[in-house]
Amino acid sequence: MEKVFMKGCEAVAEAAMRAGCRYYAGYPITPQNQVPEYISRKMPKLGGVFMQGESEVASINMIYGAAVGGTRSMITSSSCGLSLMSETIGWLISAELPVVIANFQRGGPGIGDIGPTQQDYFQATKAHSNGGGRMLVMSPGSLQEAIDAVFEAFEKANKYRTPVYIQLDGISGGMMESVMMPDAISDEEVAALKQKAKEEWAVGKMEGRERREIVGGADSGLPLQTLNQKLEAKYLEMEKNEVKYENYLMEDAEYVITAYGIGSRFARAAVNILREEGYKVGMIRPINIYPFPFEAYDAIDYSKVKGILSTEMSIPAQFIHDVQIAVKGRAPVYNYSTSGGVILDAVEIANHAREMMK
Amino acid sequence: MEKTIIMTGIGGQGVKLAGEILCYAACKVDGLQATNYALYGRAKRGGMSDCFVAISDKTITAPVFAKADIVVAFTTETPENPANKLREDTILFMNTPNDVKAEDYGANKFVLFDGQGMADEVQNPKGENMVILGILVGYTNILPEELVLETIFEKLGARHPEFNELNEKAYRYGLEKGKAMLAAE
Amino acid sequence: MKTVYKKPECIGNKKPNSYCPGCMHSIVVRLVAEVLEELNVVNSSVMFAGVGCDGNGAFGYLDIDTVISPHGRALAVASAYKRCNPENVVFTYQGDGDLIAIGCAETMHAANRGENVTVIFVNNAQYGMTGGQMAPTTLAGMKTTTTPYGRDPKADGAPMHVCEILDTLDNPTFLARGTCTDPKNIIQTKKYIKQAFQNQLEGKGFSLGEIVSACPSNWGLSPLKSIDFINEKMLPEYPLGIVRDR
Repeated sequence: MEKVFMKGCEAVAEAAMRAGCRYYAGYPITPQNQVPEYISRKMPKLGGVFMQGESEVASINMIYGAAVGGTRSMITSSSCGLSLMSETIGWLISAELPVVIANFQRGGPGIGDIGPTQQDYFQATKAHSNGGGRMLVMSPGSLQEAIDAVFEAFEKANKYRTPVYIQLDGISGGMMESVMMPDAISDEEVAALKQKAKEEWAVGKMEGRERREIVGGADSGLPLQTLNQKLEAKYLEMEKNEVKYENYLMEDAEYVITAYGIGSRFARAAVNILREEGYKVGMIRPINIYPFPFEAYDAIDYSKVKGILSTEMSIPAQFIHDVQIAVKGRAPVYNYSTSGGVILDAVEIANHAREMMK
Repeated sequence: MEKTIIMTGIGGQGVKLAGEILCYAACKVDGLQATNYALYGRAKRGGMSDCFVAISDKTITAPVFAKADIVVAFTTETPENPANKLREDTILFMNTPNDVKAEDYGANKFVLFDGQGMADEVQNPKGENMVILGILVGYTNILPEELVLETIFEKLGARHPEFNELNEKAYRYGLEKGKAMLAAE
Repeated sequence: MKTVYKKPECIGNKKPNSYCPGCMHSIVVRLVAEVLEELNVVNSSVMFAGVGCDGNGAFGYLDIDTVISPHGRALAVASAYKRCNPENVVFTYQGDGDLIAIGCAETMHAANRGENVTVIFVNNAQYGMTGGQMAPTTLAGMKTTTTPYGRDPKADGAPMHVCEILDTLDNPTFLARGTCTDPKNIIQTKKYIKQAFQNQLEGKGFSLGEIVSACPSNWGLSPLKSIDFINEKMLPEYPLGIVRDR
């Protein structure tokens, strides 16, 4: 562990390589270009492979190609780039390939703007591809959490044989923060991970075993319904094990601000402002946004809590839909959101919370 | 204790670099954390350039903020009026050769200086942002002064060790001026 | 008794092929199987099939590790795999729609990077699996289900010549076009395929064998008439031979 001051993009890149990532492909798009730039400098020294794809489409398929051989692989992009990757993300889910995908969100719909947003909530949690496939979606609230999430994402990807999605944003990519960077796993561990994949499921040397086939869909031995039932069992397993959230000053809370990812930092600052003024306000922060932490909202004491303010950097608001489903009408849910690179501001959130509390 | 700083200027003035040096220096202090986020206009040079710095002994909450404890205006010509970034207790550092007044910005605490003029005086015309860093550190004592200088050497001297001497002169000149202004209050 | 001809060991053990009568995919797959055995690389080969008759028919038919790639992306997938696993023999098996319509970018760029992989490209001038729509390789005037009045080069584009297009790039190593209309051509095509694999084993880089093929089902011709069609119409547009050999 070492304390370093790093830019978000570079921290994610460094963490990935320390977590054993030995293949990265990507295509330039603001605001995450420092990821491929950083990895292109360091990956060759680790004996790994960096490739700049001719498009996001090619890049995600390169990831698919590295993953079928059992190489730890990661791809990063931003919003519209993820839209282009959508088809192959479905293939990765269906073919059960353990890769890590990170999205540094910019504006949308369309090319939007390069400003930071949280405009891809539905895309990340509900519809990253056709066919209704799901994957674990992490939403770190700080660069330290982003680094830890990268390590965890590779582990979970391996555990569930699934792509894992890290939902970041333009602020997290561009901002610098002091972080503790974990030590790298050893070359031996990296080799052992690949070897294990080769033994269990990856394609390569066929000696001493039957042929394997990998396809993002029904294969010659597995009808689609059977495959989808198998995948669903995995989603249910994740829903059981991977719920992750934070309660902040919730014990005596009469009002709740709820936010996730980068938005939660401004929400936390707003809670602090309001607490200093004597308001009993707490925060619920989903850390994984799929599976969504419904239990956090079930645990609210609705005899005490009189209102919930959901805040995010997306117009129209998207995260609020899951909040409403979770709250089930037990308290009124209010919205305050920004978009188009307009960054949430703690003072503004506090103002909206005071409105709610009137 | 969380300290927030907004450095505001126009592209090419070294606003971002000054903010980064403060953060790198803060990280050298045990127990301190820092965040830094730069916002630019579309133009690489001459466009808006705001740099948000937060330094704290706890995990930093918001890395971007509309108003801050300290606002450092690298010029009076910023696209957005720095007055918008001030709270009642904000210290506004204003770098300009012109005779502007605290009242022009509604600032209750106001530190006026001519960074370019000072940089010229120490024969380092490109060292304006070093002067500004010096004044900020000298006046607020936000970080140990020698630690900031050490960081300047590290971050700028790595590629251009030949500028270390000039940068030190500009920084120390700012530092003394900052301390003197504080003492004069 | 001496065996002079038999089915390659790595073919059709798990699943019969699902190709139509007169389709040349089955011959091409067989040639690939023979070459892999002759080069003694069956166990270390990985096939990256496309989507279309190329992927579907070959799926499970060749008894080697197989990856089906999203439509058009086989060369992006294979490039990354080969870079991470240089010890494996990697080939894509793609049709014309997969390789040069939807996969045009992936093909051009893998060739331009000179990836050390082998490409088996089956050109039957239309989309077979989806029922005979126009492909980039469809001949001028040729009727397909989406060019019911014949392909009009002014409106629908002219036939694309993959070997010649790739020959404009610096990095490809080997580009050759064969067909499977008669034993002589089948033997010649096998030589091209073998060289395309041999090059990979020697680390020489991007090698592509194009095979001008028949689709009797969608052409609406008997297998024999399809061979006439190739000889009379296809080969003048797609001349046989080596386009590049470095």
